[in-house]
Amino acid sequence: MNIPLNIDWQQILLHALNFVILVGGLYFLLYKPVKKFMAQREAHYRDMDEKAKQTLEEADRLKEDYQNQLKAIDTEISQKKAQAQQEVEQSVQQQLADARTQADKIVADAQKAADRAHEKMLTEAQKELTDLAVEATKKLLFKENGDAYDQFLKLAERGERHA
Amino acid sequence: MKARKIKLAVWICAVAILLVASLLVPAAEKTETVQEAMRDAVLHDTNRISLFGLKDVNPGLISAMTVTALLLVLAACIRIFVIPKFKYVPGKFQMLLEQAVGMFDGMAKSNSPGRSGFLGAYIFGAGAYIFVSTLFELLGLQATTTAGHMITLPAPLSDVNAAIAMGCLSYLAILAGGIAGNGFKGVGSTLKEFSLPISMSFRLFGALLSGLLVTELVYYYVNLSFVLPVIVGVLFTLLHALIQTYVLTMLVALYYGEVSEVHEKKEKKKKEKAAA
Repeated sequence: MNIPLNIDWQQILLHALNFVILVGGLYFLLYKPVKKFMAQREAHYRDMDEKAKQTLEEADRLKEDYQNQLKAIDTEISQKKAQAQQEVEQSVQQQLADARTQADKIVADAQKAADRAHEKMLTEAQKELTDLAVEATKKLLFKENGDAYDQFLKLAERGERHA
Repeated sequence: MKARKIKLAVWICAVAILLVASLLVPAAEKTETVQEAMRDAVLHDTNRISLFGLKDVNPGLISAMTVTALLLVLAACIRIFVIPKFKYVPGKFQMLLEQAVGMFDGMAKSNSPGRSGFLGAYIFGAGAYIFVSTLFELLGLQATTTAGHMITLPAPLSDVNAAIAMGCLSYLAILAGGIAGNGFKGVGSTLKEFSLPISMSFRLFGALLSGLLVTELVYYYVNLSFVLPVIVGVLFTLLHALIQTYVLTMLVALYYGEVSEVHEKKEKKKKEKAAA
């Protein structure tokens, strides 16, 4: 049978055989190795990505830990501050109390010293008064007999000795 | 400046001399008329080539075998010398290879997500074959016919037998996808598209043959051999190669994806009934 367009079944089969060989060859020589390499690279970058994510997660976790630690430290610091403040206040109160006690003591001592001085002054004043009284008495006595000095001078002028 | 002017003058002189010479020197005596040449380009009943002394075949088969050999040698060289040196940050050639493989792999995955392995390999092979074999005619490799004439080897797919083989194999690949995906039902859905092998075969044949006939016509007449071959021979062939590669691989991927898609209607109905 004469097939139109010079179609030849044997040549069709030869073309098919040729094409199948080509497809197989290209698959094994080019398509598969290139695809394998691309998959390998994809896996490599996926691994890198996962590792980066893990590292980021780890970093986030560490950051959170440090933040918690910082918070704890801040709390501790504020507690210590409060405690120190309290201690300072107590110390101030103590020192104030001591100062007050000391001041009271000083005041008391001063009072005592003042009292003593007062006593002394009184005693001295009394003594002075006594002396003055004696002096006055003496003066009164000498007035009656003239001034002793004048008497002395008069006696001296007369060359007499005072008895 | 002076040197540039001298070069330009030399070039213009060379062009003028060659133009005059090509018009004055008589062309070689033609062994066939344009009608015979074009008829032979379609039917291949005159210029046949002996296949290793076993059988006289169309020049298209020799072209196909040459293309296959070239591609396989090139692939082997790339496999041995290039692929082992692949880097994670690719160079230009590596990028080209990865782009080619990735393009067909992506086409297979997007059209048939469940069964893209075989489809990707098939359309990669088919794409490479159609693209390279269409560009093959630009090489102008010579062969001796059984009658003793020298002819230029044509694009393999301009031979109807090659186009039929490609169409039928593509149809068989689609059928295989249907069986793998849906079993007997896949055969039915593939057989519904019975016109596919014919349409795919003759689309390829028609496209490549038209290119061949235009090229034959252009080269037959000396007067058409100026400037025009650059457009017809290079640009059209290049566009042709890209378009035919894209069309056939896309069609195969689409039909393959369609027939290999798993339908779960019955199972859903059963589940719905059970739930009711």
